[in-house]
Amino acid sequence: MDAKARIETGLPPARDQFHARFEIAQDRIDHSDLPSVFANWFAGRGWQLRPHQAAMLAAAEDGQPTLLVAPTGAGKTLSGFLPSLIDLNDPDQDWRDQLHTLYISPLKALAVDIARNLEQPISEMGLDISLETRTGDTPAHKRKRQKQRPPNFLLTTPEQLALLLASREAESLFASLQTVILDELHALVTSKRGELLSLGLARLRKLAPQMRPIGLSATVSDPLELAHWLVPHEAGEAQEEPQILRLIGGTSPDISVLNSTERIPWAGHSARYALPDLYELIKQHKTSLLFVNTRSQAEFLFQNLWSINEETLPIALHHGSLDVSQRRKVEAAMSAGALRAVVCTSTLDLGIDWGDVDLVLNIGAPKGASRLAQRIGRANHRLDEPSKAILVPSNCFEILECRAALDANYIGDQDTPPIRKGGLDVLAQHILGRACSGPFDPVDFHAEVSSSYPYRHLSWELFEQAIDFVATGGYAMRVYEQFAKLKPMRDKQSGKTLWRLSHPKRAQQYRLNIGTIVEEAMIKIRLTSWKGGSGEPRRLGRGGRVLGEVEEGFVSSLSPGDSFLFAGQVLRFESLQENSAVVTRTQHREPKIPAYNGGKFPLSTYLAARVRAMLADPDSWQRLPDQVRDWLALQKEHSIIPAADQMLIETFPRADKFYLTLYAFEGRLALQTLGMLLTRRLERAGARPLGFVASDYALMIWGLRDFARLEKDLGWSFEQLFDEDMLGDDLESWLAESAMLKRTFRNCAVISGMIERRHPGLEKSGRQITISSDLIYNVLRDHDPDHLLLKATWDDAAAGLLDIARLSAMLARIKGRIIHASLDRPSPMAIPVLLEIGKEPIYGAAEDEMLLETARTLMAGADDDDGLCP
Amino acid sequence: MHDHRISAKGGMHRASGEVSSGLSSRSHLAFDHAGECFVASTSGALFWPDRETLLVADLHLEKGSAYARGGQFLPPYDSQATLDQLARDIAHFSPARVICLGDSFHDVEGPARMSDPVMQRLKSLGDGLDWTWIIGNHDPVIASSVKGMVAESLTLQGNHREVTLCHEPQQTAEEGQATSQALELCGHLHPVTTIHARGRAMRRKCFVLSAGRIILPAYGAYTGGLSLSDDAFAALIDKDTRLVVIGRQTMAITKWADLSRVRRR
Repeated sequence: MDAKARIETGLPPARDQFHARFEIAQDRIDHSDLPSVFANWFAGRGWQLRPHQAAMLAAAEDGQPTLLVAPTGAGKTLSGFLPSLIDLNDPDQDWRDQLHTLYISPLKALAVDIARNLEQPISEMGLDISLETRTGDTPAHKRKRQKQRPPNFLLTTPEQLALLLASREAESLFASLQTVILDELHALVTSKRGELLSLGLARLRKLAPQMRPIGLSATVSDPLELAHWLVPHEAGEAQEEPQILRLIGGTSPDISVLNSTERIPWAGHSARYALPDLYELIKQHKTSLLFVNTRSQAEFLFQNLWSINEETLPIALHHGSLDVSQRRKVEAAMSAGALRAVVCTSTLDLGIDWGDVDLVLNIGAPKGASRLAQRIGRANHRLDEPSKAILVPSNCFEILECRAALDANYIGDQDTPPIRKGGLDVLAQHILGRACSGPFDPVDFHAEVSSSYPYRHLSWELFEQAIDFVATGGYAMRVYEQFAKLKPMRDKQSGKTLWRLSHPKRAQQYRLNIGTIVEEAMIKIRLTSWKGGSGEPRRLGRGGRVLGEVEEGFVSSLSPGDSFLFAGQVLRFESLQENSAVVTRTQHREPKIPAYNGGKFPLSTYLAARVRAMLADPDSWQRLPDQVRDWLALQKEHSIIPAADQMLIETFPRADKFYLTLYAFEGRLALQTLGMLLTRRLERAGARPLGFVASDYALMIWGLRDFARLEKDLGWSFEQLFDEDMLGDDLESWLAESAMLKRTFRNCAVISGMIERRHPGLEKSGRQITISSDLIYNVLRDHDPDHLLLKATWDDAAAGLLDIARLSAMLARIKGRIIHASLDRPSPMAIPVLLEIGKEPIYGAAEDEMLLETARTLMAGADDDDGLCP
Repeated sequence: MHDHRISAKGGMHRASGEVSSGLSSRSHLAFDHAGECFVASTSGALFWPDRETLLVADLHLEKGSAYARGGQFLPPYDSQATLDQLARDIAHFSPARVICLGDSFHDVEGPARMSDPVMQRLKSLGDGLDWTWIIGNHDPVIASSVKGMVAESLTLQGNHREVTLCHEPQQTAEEGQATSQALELCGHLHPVTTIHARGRAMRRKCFVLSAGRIILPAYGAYTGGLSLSDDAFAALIDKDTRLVVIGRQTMAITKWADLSRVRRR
């Protein structure tokens, strides 16, 4: 038993005026009257009830929605189930074939894992409790049986819950439900999956009014908001008081920044310099996890570690694009303790028990505290021993970021994003699901939907529009009425108008398109070899092993003969056959095409502010490695080090172009948006910008006119340039053509059901069958700019991809605080940004120029005038 | 290198190759193929000045409503958008004749689902024009409610050889090389190509110019594309194939072989 952990109920004092109730009878914790079978079981293992487990029991008696906030490894999950276990043990109640507790986890692997962990105490105590998981892998006959004769405990995922709720058996299945346990709630609520889940929870409250939700969460910055997510709302106000249990303590993790004698590069993300150090660390520890931020980094690191793996240590690779069977193999080897290191991306971020990991290496900057804490939590899954983690920055800027993160000692202080307003696309999906389970009264249903936290402010008008959208597409022209998915009907008993499904086929359509995770169409990578040879014509072997999947966009950028890195090997792209990319092994050591990107996380606001403060304070540089200190000293000598509240702009000429760099430290998304807006504005001013590149720290724009003379030549001061009015007209007009908005639109269109997902096996072969969502977007924008789906897209983009709120805060912050350094060459801080050009996508007017430039270069060798009209 | 572009209705002039801000003047590109002169538009239309003929392929009108029938409510404005674009091209080139190279309607019932105002617009577009619908695999039958002549294929006399207008490509590139008899103008395949530049891949519609044939890109508002690297193109392109690539507001002509050779720089 761990003495350091203490349970704290309620909230930080500053927020206590809120109506949440947090006292929990402290006296109940110590002499909790556990049933004897439980008391004996605990005693038999030499355990005592942990304080938070006792607190959960007490909370269960009070019957309020409860949020348990505890660090990873505190045994949260068992405490969530304990009240249900005890309840089901009551001999006076017959729970046979009745659902008592529903457990929802963001990962199906986690649900399976938890089931395994629960089976042990159940069988050891000899409890008569049935427990089953339900995931996409559950066989159809079992799923069918589960609906008719459910287990007492059902462990599943948000998508499966939505499917269950959309079935005709939903009402009978959930009528007996007592408890819903929502695991890793902090990770779920900030996504659209969380929005769908919140609607499911509202539905469950209706079907089982006695049901009590329990949220389990890692430490978060705003537990009150998270607790309110569990509670029903009316007219935007919480109708119940949630109970919050916070477990403070454990030991703080032992985190350091890698101290390398190698030279740290000014730019780049590969951390190649640190390879010998990393290998040495792996050798010194039992099992290490190496976290990277993108799949391409994972591939790169894995390959390079093996190239220096003289002792052939078992080092594995794990990321979401690899084939499932390969991933399962790694996971199994990991829990068997057969691996010394695993290079992985975020797929392992969430709480699965990985055996005895004694070192976490985080490659690149942490970007956000919550992510880092989750990753570090992978090491040493015990509260009483400190987890050991080492941050491995890959360039000078990242050293600043790592140092700032450690100095702030904020690892325990989480920076999870706020919970967003529920998406209209998710609502549309839920409405169709609701209709699949039976006819509904729109007035009742609106009340139900707006009882969920993310939709608590949803107006009746918008809700009606959403129904209209599901029914006929929501076009003012009503041309699609004949094909409507939902039809109104008159209820004979009540005389009310109910909405019902127009055809059972629509329910099947719903089931095939459920979920809020929209991935780019994926193409399988199939490894084969060349057959034939000497004399015979060479041909590609048929079939071959599937190594995994990559985005269609990546494959379409390959030409036959290109080599790339995947699944830890260099592969040669041969051809595209139906839905797989056929590849062969190649002797090349260096892939020709840099591997594809998988999600990059932006720098969190909190960390950004810390980095700015650190930069502005030369005293704090003492704690930085010599080379970074030298870099900053050089910057001071050649340019300016901005104060914490200032924003530095540098201008310089280079070759035949002019550059402008601004150091805003606001994260990639906000700076990308700023780049788009700024280039538009500069274009209007006649400054002829050509393109820009954005990183987490800086934005660099280049063009044909000297940006230093902007005011003199064109009458635009920097203050004017960065005026907040940029977020008005410029934003509007830019959005009209924004590629990012089109991507967002695609997601909304798929989630809302406007575009159907593609399903393996159901695709028509090859050919021009895919409808490009870009084209649909263009047409919709031109002809129906107020359409519901465009609203959904805009809401999404503003909060997510574009980071408008952050950009707007930044523009306000730098007002009157812009300093300009006019230089004759790039400053030390500008060089890393300059080096990003060519690695990062380039936006803006440069795109068409590139097209022409490429064509012109190609034609330069060809005969002049060849094939052109006289 | 010299560029030749049309700046105003029908007239041609020699534009400078310099990068300038007036991108709009580059939205048409004239080229010579098999002894005929053509003008490609960023819209995907092809104008044949000597025959005063405007060619478009794969309009896929009423594709939106075809999907709605299956429960996917794509915005029902695609026919309108396609016809708006066609109206702009007609106004720009003032052709005597319009030929649609097949798959003009997404399906045989397309004309019946078309709303009255859109049908009216289609009719008025054809006023005073000689209008031909070549049938395609999507629209083997064109309803009689649609104005214009219907044909399986059409042969016109060019300056040097016969020019066949059809939906699907008829001969392979090799055959085209060997016979050099007829020039074929067709659609069906919705060609797109990928341009690599500065670490970025751009997917763009294109005209495919091979010996004896020009494949037009798909014109319709909801028409997707098929990459030239797909097997379907294998027999249709060879080392001499040229592409007219459509940018956002500009066009470029290049050799396919060169393009597939270039990698990110």
